[in-house]
Amino acid sequence: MRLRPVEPKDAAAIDAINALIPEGEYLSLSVKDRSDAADMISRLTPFDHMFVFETEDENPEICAIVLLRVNHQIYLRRTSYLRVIVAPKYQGKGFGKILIDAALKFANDELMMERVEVEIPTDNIAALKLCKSAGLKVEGIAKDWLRTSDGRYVDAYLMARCRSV
Amino acid sequence: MEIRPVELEDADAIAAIRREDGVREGVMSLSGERTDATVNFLRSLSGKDRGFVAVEDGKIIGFAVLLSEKDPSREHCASIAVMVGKNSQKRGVGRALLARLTDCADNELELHRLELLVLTDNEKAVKLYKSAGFTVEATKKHAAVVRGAFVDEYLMGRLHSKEAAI
Repeated sequence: MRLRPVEPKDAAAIDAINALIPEGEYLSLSVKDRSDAADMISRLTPFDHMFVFETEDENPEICAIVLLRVNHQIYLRRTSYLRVIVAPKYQGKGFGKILIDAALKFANDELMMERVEVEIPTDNIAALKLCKSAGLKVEGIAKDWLRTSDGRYVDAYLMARCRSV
Repeated sequence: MEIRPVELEDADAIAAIRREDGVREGVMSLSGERTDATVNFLRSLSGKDRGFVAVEDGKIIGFAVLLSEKDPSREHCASIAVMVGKNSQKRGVGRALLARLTDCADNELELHRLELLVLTDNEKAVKLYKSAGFTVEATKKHAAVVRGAFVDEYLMGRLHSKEAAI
């Protein structure tokens, strides 16, 4: 397996993975991001980072996506927002942990990013455990943070990893 | 004092307040922030966003903004920010601007949730927001840089009171 920066040609494979992920699934891309990967990739700023995690055979297959968006007020907020999505057929293999660890290391060692933030719906206990195991801490709970397509409001854990705390 | 919708021509006055000592730290501005940053920000406001200025004797003394979330899963939310010029603080200008925003959110845009970020040491602002129904939901460590050091911010949230009562 290897992790590399995303390319515009990856859009179709990313759309295919997103289509298989249930709404509200942990660390998924936002609904807006999910609708059109080509558009999303074209709108990444020079501060943003997006990687794909793929197999290393003759026809590499994308297994997961890592998105690290950096706050554009870079002098005032050394904050980035992490999202990881693993294709259903590759879930349960520990890739989520590997990719969160890799993203935190990248943010820490290369970007010297003070904060990496993650939002997790409070009904996703597995995701909460995974993020805690990667060193992210719960900073609070935001009420009715998300609304599902059937109109249900969901609270979210706001988590972060601070570089120098 | 009058509260009226912001116009592009207000950018100079707003940018000057944003750069003031004692204001810029709380509004995420820089002493080197050019006016065109404010112009671009005002131009970027969309149909579901709102901006108001407080005007006294023809002079702009405060500015407040409501930014609606664009992502479909968060369209019921908006974030707000309020600022008042250094020489006009402690006179209810912030309270009046905040009341205009919450009125917009509750009665015009019918938003379910409002949220804001405030420096944890800005006690007056925290008190004002609490009086308008906001509660502290999270403490974000090292979320901002002020005078050469990382400082913490509160995320404060407020649900639409009518809906919340159901």
